[in-house]
Amino acid sequence: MRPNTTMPGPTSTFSPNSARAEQTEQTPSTTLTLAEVPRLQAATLVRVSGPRVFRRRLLEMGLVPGVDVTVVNVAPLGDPLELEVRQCRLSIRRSEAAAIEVAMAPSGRRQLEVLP
Amino acid sequence: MSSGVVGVETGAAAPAAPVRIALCGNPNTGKSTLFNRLAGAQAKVGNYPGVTVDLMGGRLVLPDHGVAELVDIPGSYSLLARSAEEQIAVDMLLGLHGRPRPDVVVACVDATNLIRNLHFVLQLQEHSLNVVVALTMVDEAEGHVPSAAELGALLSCHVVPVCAHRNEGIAELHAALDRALQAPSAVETFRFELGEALSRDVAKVRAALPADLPNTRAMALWALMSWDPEVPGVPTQVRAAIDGAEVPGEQIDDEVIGGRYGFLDANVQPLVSGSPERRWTRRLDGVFMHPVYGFGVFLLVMFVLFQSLFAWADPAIGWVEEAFGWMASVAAEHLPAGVLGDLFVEGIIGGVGSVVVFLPQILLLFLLIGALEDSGYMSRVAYLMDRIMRLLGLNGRAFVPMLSGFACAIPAIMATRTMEQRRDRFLTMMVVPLMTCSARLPVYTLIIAGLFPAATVMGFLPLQGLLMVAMYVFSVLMALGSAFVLSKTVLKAAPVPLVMELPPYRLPRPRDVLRMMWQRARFFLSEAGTVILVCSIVLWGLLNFPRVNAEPGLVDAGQSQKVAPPIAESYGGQVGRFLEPAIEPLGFDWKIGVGLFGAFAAREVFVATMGIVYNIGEDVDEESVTLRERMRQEVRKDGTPVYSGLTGLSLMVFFALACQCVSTIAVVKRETNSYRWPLFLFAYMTSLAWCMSLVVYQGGRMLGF
Repeated sequence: MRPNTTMPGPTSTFSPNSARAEQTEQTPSTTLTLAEVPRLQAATLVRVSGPRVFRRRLLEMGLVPGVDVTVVNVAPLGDPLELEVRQCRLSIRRSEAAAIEVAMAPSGRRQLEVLP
Repeated sequence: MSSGVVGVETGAAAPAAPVRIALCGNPNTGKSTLFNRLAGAQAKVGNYPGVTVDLMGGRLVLPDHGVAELVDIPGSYSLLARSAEEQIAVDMLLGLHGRPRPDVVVACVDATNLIRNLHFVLQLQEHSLNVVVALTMVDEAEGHVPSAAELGALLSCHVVPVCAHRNEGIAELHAALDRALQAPSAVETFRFELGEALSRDVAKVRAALPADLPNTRAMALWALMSWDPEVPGVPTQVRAAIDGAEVPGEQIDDEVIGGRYGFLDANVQPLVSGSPERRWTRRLDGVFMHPVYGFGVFLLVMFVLFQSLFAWADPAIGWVEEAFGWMASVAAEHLPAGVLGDLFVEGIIGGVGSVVVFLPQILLLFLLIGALEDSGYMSRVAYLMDRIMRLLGLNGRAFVPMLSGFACAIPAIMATRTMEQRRDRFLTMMVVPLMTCSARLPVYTLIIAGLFPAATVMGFLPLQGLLMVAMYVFSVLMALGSAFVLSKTVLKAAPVPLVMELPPYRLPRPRDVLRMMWQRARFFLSEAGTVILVCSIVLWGLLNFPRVNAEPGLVDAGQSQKVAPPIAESYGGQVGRFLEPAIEPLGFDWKIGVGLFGAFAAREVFVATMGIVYNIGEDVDEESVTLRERMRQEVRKDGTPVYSGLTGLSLMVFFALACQCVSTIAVVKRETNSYRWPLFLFAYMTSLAWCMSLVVYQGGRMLGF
């Protein structure tokens, strides 16, 4: 089964088979990559593709399927992006963000205090 | 080398082998503050042979177990290494490659970032390590701290909230370490279930594990996931078993890492009431990461950094030079004339001086870098600069070392240690020496003031000033170009993802920053300094031997004194003459060749060497009118002046590009721990210099200059 995109990430339990099953499934048309998500739009991580080193580093930093991801900032030259995942800020290049598939969360824009 | 760098002599004091404690955790968790608190003043830095990872070691005294050795493991997110450097941390924790396994592991866990930090703790526990959790950053969690008892019950280990800089929780941590040593919770603990296919793979790898590795599921899984052939430490027979694995690598990662996070999300999340707002970090980022203001702040910070290296360090450098000059003159007065006296005064005192003279800039740079790192701003610098640096095959972390290169390549090369990837570090080290460092300025000043008229261009732009600016621009372009070419050839690598944490802003703690600064300086003096000293003495020898008979009248009658030869007849001078055919196409004569050779000690020595070559004396500086006059009068055999504007330009280009600095080579040798890289650096920079000077000189002649 594919993780329900409306399910809040942190409380979903993980079963060993879901990740495997998910990879054989067709990408749902509603998903898009993190590089395409507008700033401050809440999204839920569906899958990370790309080279194994990269995938693993993201997984290790907690970017597992089902977790909430928000692009909170874009660097002045358009790249890299600043993400908020699990209350932690990460910098990631746009080309790398393109390898991260997400689903838009229905909750819409995040209420984040970013400006002084 | 099995026992490592720490605690070798402390071990002799205790009757039995002392308890070994490893301190580990994710980066930015306050680990070094805790280490400094635990180890007190006795910490010392060591270097693992073969790679440049700082391993801090110290000792602490436990109430029950007495003296214990404490090792600070470099901050890491995972027990799966991506490089030889990261593998050190893994070896030290898991007791691989002859490293002793720690008796107890203190895992720093950032209370504001529990789940990700605990992912590392779960890995430690899988390997049946005896873990004690130190819950740090409790003061930042704004009350959203899990109860230590509940968390401890969940993880079946001791959890101690600590606030290292306020000395809170340290005694409790000591007590918890004693308790953990008494009753180790060292059982292989998996918090998730392996799928069927993966279990079969693990069993297969386990059967292939050699006898010197612990034969556990965790070790088999670790080997299975350390698939990258570049990561050392996986024996061949294990590799073979891995290659026959049923489950594809990506799925193993998903299953295992996802499994741990599944456990943590389900069980740890309910223990925390919420997350801190981090009001200040959000506010500061609103300015610092702003497209417009952010760049303004960035430029300001970088200006201060640059200015401090360039201007503030200057008086201190002057004092060092004066102090060593004074020492040399005092020593010269009291020592008998002769080879030994000269060696001591010029070779040794001069050589030590040439090492110490780098200290002001090194101390300042690491003071600032330490403050920037600890405050969290350094990651933002890397973030802001990444787009630009990536065009050159580098990442944003290379910016500060490159900028520091304008002051001096020595601290700049040392500053590359903040870079995570070996390849990026080496690439940065290879191009930093091309930046216009302050030692080139006296040479440029001499040449520009001596050989170019104080005219104006287009009526208002001073020619001399323009030339100086042009040299800066030229060096930047050449450095960037070289970075680009090297990143596509010698240091070609698959693009490494830049997934970087942007930690919350924190006030740097002076204690930690000063300690780091002092460790860097000490490392420089003991490691690079000795190499620089030896090189300086050898250079001095080459310019002062073979000894010749003193001219009569210069020494008292009755003494047949051997003295230093005229520089042209020294070995160094002979090298200059020998090199003449090679440098003639660049417009240089053998006298310049001698100057180039002398400049190896440090570029600015060129000025003094030219003073000696032209018999003006060695006390000239770049402002010397006599030296400028003398240079203008110098003619070739055919009567044309040696120093035309074109020669000057060619000479400046040569100085801009050639690796004319023994200290740079010495530091690169220390930092890369190899002879290959410094030799490559020397070879490529010097050939580049020769080619570019040739193009300038011969091209200029063809154009009729």
